[in-house]
Amino acid sequence: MKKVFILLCALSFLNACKKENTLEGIQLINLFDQELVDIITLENVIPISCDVIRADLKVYEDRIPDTVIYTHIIVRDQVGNAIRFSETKSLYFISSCDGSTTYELTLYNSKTRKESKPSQFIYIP
Amino acid sequence: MKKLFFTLLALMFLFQMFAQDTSKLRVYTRPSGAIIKMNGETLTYGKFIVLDSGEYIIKAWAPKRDLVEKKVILGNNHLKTVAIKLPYSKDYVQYRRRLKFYNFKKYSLRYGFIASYLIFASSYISDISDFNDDASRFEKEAGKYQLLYQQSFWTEDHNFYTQKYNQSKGNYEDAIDEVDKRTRMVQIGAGVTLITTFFGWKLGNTMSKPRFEETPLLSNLTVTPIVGNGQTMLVIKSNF
Repeated sequence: MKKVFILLCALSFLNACKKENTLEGIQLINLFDQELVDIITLENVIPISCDVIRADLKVYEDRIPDTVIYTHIIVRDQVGNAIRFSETKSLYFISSCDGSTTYELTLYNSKTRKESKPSQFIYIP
Repeated sequence: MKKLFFTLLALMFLFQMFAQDTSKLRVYTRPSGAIIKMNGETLTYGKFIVLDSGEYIIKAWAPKRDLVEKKVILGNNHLKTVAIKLPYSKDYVQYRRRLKFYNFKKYSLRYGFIASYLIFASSYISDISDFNDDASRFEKEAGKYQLLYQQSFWTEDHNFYTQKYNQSKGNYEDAIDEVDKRTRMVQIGAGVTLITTFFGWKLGNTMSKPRFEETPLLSNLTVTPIVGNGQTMLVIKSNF
């Protein structure tokens, strides 16, 4: 009887030792990965012709971490053309005469070849 | 002086005449507590007796041993020591073998399952400890990559840390699974051991212990203990 009791105690002890999965249900959250933060936009947009616009690039420096260093801004139009800019003022972009044009704007570090998640800008003539 | 000389000479002659027909004999046995007999007379271990010259048969016996007979020829004026080694009897050797087998079976039934379980469990518990260590390590790694992911800005870093986090999480979950699997095995093993030991113990108690009995030899009065089935008996036999 004593042995039975000891073994039962050992069994319950082992049951108590069962490891729980502490990582279950944890989801990774990053504001920059989930495109919740708009960090680049176009401003001062002036139409030059039906298919060309002039605009300035604006980076919201206060929305990106201080440690982030970028060298260029990449602009991709909806056709897939990508242009790398190191300047931000008075830049010319191709637009669509028929309707709106969507631009994807990303920060780029040429040294590390890393790119940020794109911010979107939609131009409606 | 002359008379004394003749008297001494006569005494020496008489002594020689007498001494020619006697010898001394003593018997040693192994084991020392054996019953030693010669012509129906009991001899004392290691003690000299005076005998006439001639041929004698010494018999020796001890409990659990074979009866041994030894022929001794005594010449004139001999001083002889006889050593007799008594081997274990066949019955006793068989009894010892049966007793060993009985003990082996009994203790195997009583403790064999527990012993096997302890070996099995110790190996599994050692594995559990190792997998627990692994799980803790992968958990820390996953935490580190989770933090790095949260702090990262570049898309490449997002992808890299997500991949690393998922890898660490996968390893952690594998280690957890192994811990749980082995813990369950140890628990099941304990249950099985509990049941088998219970029945093994019962079965072990029903086994009858081998008994050893022998007929005492060379003794007029013999007291023989008989051990078996948890009882001890004394059998007193007398040869009148």
